[in-house]
Amino acid sequence: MEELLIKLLMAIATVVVLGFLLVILVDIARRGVSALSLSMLIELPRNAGREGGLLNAIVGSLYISSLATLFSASIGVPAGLYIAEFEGKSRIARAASFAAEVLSGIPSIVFGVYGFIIFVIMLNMGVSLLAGALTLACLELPIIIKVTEETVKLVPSHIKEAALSLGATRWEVLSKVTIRQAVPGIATAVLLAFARGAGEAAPLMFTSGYSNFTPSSLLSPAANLPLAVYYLIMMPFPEAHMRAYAAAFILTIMVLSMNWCSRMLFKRWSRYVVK
Amino acid sequence: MLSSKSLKNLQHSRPSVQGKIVVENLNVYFGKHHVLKNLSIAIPDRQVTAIIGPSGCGKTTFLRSLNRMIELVDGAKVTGKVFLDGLNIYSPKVDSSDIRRRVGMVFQKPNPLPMSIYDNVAFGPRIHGIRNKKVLDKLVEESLKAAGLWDEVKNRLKDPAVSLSGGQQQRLCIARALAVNPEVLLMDEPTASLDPISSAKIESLIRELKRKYTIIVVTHNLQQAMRIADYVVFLFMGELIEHGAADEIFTSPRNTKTIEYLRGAFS
Ligand SMILES: Nc1ncnc2c1ncn2[C@@H]1O[C@H](COP(=O)(O)OP(=O)(O)OP(=O)(O)O)[C@@H](O)[C@H]1O
Ligand SMILES: [Mg+2]
Repeated sequence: MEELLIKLLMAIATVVVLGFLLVILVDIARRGVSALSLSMLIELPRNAGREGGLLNAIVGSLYISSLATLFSASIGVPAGLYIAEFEGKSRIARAASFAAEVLSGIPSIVFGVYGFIIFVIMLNMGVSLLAGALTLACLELPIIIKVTEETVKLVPSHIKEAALSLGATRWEVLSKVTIRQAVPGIATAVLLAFARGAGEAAPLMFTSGYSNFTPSSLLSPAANLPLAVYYLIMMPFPEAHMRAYAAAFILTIMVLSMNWCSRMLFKRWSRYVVK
Repeated sequence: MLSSKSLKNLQHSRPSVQGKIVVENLNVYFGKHHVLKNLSIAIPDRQVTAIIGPSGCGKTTFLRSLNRMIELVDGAKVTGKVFLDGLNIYSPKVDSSDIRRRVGMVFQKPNPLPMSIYDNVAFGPRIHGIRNKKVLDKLVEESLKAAGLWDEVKNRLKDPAVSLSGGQQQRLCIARALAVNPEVLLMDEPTASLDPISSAKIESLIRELKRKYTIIVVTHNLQQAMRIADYVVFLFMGELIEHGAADEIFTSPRNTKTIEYLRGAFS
């Protein structure tokens, strides 16, 4: 009886999740594709977004997310490694782990507000590509730290022992063996963070702002796809709504292909991993 | 940095008996747990020494104290001396990674590194500073040949090590250990996870390798000990009960515990 109930609940959950996903994908595709044309991908917006393309948002999103992921990965991957290796012995490592845990629970709009205060105002960057990327990096950082930490902790001790028994130092074990085993997981962490960042509007609203042009420097404002969706759907013109769906469609394809890439990479790089 | 040779000359305390490895008053504690109790023994050069004894008696612990792998266990404490060719490996100036290069180890379960077959064997030489491709190629080939694996893998050196069978992986681990040119090879139940055919291969390999290396094997399999050992060490609850030439121990053991163990009284 209980088993039946659990099975039923599981079935309902599956149907709801899959159904929701399917409806969203099909609807976005249906509405977006009709507005989608080559000019959408290669032209800047004209006439307050009612004509022209989304090049400003596409380029802006790519720049902001890539920069943010670059920043967060270059701090987060070493931090995750450090925490995993030294959590037992180092207070700083435990503090960093705790901080990452707390940071990952903070709503993204709060990142937006503090990104504005710290990067835009205090550090005098203005509303800019750089301020947006740095704010987004703060949001992505805990993801990268946590996933890296988990992966590295899962590296079996017998692999490390093998290297140590050959005369490797702790550092050589970490840099030549542990990393190799963890690389597929770390790469997944980075791509996951990218995908998460690419979908965020709230942290960017006050930090990178919006612009109808592609950014000319790190310090100029930059558009992005999530905000493009938001602004276009708020407009009182039907043709703007169609373009909002097109923007949502492009964003979805971007994130999904990122996901698919990470799967392929994971498979490829897992070839040498010891199970 | 002192070379091991000049260190050796600095060493005042000398082992009182002859042997490739001489252990004097070795004690190992895990926290309060006294696991190895005042062991003293000399391990003969270029012979196969088998360590036997019931489960939990300290065989693995003993083996790991011979290349300082024991130090990796949190809370492990070692007292006493272990001489490798007269050099006390626990003396403060001795570098543990230097000792581990000279005293190689093969584990109970094959533990390949997450890389190709070639890179597994080349790992040790590389960390010890060999960069030249030709030299590495030659070392890898020689080591794989010595481990009896070359013919099976020579056309797939770039394949992941994990794509090999369990028995092949274990021989790869032996090749990897040989590649750093050790003097001693420690093997902890090297055939315990293998099928009979792979086990037989490893056994004949051990008999082959003793011409060049001092080999110490932990085994639960008395038949295996009889087949491969020249010298036998019997441990019981952390104490060294009896040791001697294999035929003596197996045909005329003196201690009653040894007799009972050989009869199969303990598992
Ligand atoms: N990391 C550890 N921490 C605490 N105690 C340990 C640890 N490793 C081993 N011991 C204890 O030390 C004793 C000797 O263990 P050891 O692994 O050396 O035995 P063994 O003879 O190799 O046994 P087996 O034949 O089952 O492998 C055992 O009582 C064991 O419980
Ligand atoms: Mg053991």
